[in-house]
Parts: sequence; structure tokens; C-alpha cells
Amino acid sequence: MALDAALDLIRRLPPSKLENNLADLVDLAPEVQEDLLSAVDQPLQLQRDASGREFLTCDYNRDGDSYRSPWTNEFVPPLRDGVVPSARLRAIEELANSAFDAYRAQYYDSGVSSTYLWDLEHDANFAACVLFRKDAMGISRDARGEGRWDALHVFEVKGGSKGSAVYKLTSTIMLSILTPDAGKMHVAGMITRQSEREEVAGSARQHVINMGKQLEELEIQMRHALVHVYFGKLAEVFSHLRNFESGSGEVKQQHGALQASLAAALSARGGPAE
Amino acid sequence: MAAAPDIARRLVRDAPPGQLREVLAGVRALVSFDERAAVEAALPAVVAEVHARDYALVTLPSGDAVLLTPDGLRPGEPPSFYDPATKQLLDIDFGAAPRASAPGVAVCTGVSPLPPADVARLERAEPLRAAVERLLGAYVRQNYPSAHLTVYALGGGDEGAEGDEQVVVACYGAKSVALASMYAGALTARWELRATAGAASARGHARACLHTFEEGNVRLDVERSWRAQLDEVDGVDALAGALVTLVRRSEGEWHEELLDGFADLGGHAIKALRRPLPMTRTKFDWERATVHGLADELAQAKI
Repeated sequence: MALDAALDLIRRLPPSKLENNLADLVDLAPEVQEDLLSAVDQPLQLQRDASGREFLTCDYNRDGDSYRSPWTNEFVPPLRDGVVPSARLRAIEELANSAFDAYRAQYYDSGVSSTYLWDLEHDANFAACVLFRKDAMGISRDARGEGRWDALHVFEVKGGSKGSAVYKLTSTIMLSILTPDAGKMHVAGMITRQSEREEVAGSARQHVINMGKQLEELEIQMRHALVHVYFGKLAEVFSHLRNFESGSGEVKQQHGALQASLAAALSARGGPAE
Repeated sequence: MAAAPDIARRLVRDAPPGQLREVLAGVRALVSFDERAAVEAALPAVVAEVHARDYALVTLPSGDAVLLTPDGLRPGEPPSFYDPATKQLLDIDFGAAPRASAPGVAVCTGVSPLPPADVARLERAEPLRAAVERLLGAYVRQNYPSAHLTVYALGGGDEGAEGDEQVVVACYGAKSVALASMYAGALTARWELRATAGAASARGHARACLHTFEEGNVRLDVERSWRAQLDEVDGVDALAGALVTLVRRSEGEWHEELLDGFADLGGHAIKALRRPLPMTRTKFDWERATVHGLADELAQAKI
């Protein structure tokens, strides 16, 4: 019950204060700490390894107070006997880091990516998380404003039937945009989606291809949902507050376009307008 | 580690529009038995503060409605509010108690007359207050279907007016809350008109919070301020009319900018963070990216 209450608060309280809210909820009810922190993704932090390359930190590459770099496989700060993936998984991890960083360059232009794998109990099973973070300045039409995008994709990969593997993916995107448009506007949000697929997987390369295609598809869907469903919903809510019938022709035209865009998005999603 | 009452205050203060009851319930479910009494003691003041910040609407026994706002706050423990139109003090149940009949909802349980000295102090600006209430009220009804307007005449001294100055503050708030559909929004605006013989000025501040939480939690906060000198300063109707003209123009422009801002979010801003597709306009080539050495080439490709 306490965990349900904490999760309910997380979806209501400002997403821009997620880390502070989590800390407050844990202080209030320490018994929910483990479950709450494993259920709620947090914005990604940057670290730099001994080679000078940036990597992203999260619970999946943490051991004590140190974080493992996906590029060097070494912990920062240095840690003796830190937990690292098996040699088999490290081979997949190296290939995945190379491929997902190329994906990052194509979709994000800049930013940082990091991919981590870890062994699960059964020999053939493993888990992976693929992280992207992009910070950008001058993102509005008039080159003002700033934004941040954090994407966390967590795979659970289990052996399927006859040489196949089942890929269960949970993806979270966290977004923050601050612009001087219309005064001072701040949009912050986090959305989570899941997908599951069974694919032929006979090699490290095939695992990376399978995970990559699944991640790319879900990330495209989530980006689309943010733009056309969530932003559309925010515009719709605003239209409930303000009567645009008395506005100028241009305002009404813009409002009509927004509503049409929202209706199209909802129709594509297969549901009626709420 | 912060004390439980401080944490509870922070969380309640961050309640999104129309969800104070849910946030209170969540906080209460998390507080340990040992901390419960201290947290309950802290809640009434912060709940009253949130009602005032969000311009909670209450209905008087007479059927009239009035907003609870910081401008109508009367210091005290517990804090109280007054209605500037009927000149009455309001007894408010803030819905802060664990077993409140309407948790998180402010309810007016009774009224009493403002002390005569207070009424006398407010009388000087009453004609201007009434004119603003009438003329701005028409604008608010036309433009904000769910909104209510409450207009205050500030008295002298501590209440904000100086010398022969007349000060009127207009507050209005609109809400759209549909928690079953997982969205809520609220807009509040405060316009302050200051007039002396031969000169008048106005300043305004509006803020909106829009929230949707279906399979996620996405929130937009926006605020805007204005300040202007008014040209028409002869007579209370002319002054009130000049204020309405300023409000109509300022908020009209703001709302156009907001709609532009919404479009910009979905266009430039998101695209600057992550493209819908790579510049090649085709999905990523995973076959190529997983051949040793070719991923680096793809990472460098800017075609």
C-alpha cells in the first residue's frame, strides 16, 4: 500500500522535481526505498572515465559508490573486484555500445550513449540497458530555450524456443524543455512503454540487431506520442480554460490546427478523443 | 534528512491542479505512526496556502461565490479570508483534516460581517472596485468559461495603498479537471490597478499549469507578467475600461504566443533533442552497424 501511494504521488508531482520527490518519499517511508527506486527511473548523470570519454551512470553500472565505464570496463572511482559482465556478455556489450553510439549520432546528433549488460541466473539469459542523454541549447524556433532528453531502455533477454530469444523491453523517456516563449514556459515529463518480441538469436551480432530494431521502433513511437498525444492533450486542456471563440481569426485557426492534429494522433492510436 | 512535516509541506505545495485530495491521501499513507501527529499539525496551514495560491472557489451560504486568494487572506491562526463584494469574513473548512467531509476541498461553513473599521478603510476605492468587477467580469465571462472573478479594494497603510492612491486588485481563476481522463489544468491571473489624481498604472501576472498523467506524467507550467501606464484616468468607469483594454490585449497576445509555443514544442524543440528519423530519412541500418568497424563510419555519417 505504501509503495502504491508513493508511485501514485510520483505520477502527480512535478516531473521536474523527480529526484527531490523520490528522496522525500524515501525519507517519509524508508520501507519503500528499494521497490520505489527500482520502479522509477531517474535522470541520467554523466561521468568521465580514465580515457577521458563520457559515459552515463545509473543503478545498472553501479557498484558501491563507483560506476563502470562501458568503454573501458573500468570503475570510476577505481574499484577492485567490482562486478563486471562475463566475457561472453562483454563481447555483446562492446558490439552494442559501438552500434548504439552510432544510432545515437544519427538520431541525436550529439549527446552521450552507454549500454550495459549483466548476467541473469540462467546461463543464456541476460539483461541490458541502453541509455541516451542529450542536452541542447537554443532549441526553440528563435534559437532560445534549452532542453534535455533522457532515454532509458531496459531489456530482459530470455532463451525462447528453437534458437530464438524473447526480448522484453521497458523504455522510459524523460524530457525537460525550458523556453522564454509566452513568458516563461517549462515542460517536463516522463513516459514509459513496454514491448515484447521473440526473434531468432544465434549470435552476439544478432542480439544487438534484434535489440536495436525493437528499441528504435519503440523510441519512435514514444517520441510520436510525446509530440502528438501529450502535447496535444496539453493544448486541449488549455483550450478548456480559455474560450477561443472570442479570439482573433489567427488564434482560432491555430487552435483548429492543434485540435485536428490531436484528433489525427488519437485516431492513429485507435482510441476516441477523451 | 528533512523532518516529516517539512516533507509533507513540500509535497502538498506541489499538488497539481485539482489533485490536492490525492496528494494528501498519498502523504498520509506514507507517514509513520510516530510522525502522524506532527504532520497533521503542519497540514492545515499549507493546505490553506495551496487553496489561496490556486484561487479556490467557495460558495457562500447566500449562494454567491468568491475566490480564496492571497489578497483576501486575513492573518491569523488559522488563516481566514474575506469576500470583498459582500464585506464578510468567511469561515472556511479547508478540507485538511484526515476525516474532512470533502478532503482537499475548501468549503465555506459560515460568514460574519467585516469589522466596521475595515469596511470604512476599504470604502474609498469601492466605486473603482465595483466598476472593475462589472467591466472586467464581462471580459472574464466571455473568455474563460469556467472562471470566477473576485475584485478587492485595498485600504491604506499595511494593505498597500499610499496617500490618495486607490488600489484595486482583480483575481480570476479557471480550472478544467477530469481526473478520470487523467488530465487537469488551471489558470490564474491577478491584475493590480493603481490610480492617483491624473495618473494610473497596472501590472498583471498570469500562470497556467497543465497536467496529463496517462501512462506517464507530463506537465507544462507557464507564467507571464505585464506592467503598463494607463491613458484613460478620468473617472472610475474610464479607468476600469482602460484596464480591461489592457488585459484583453495582453492576454490575447499571450495566448497566441502560447499556441505558437505549443506548436514550437512539437516542432523545433523536440526535433532539436531527437530527430523523428535520421537525416537519411530511413531507419537506422542495424545490419551495417554491427559489422566490425562500420559503426564508427555510421556515427560519423552526416548525410
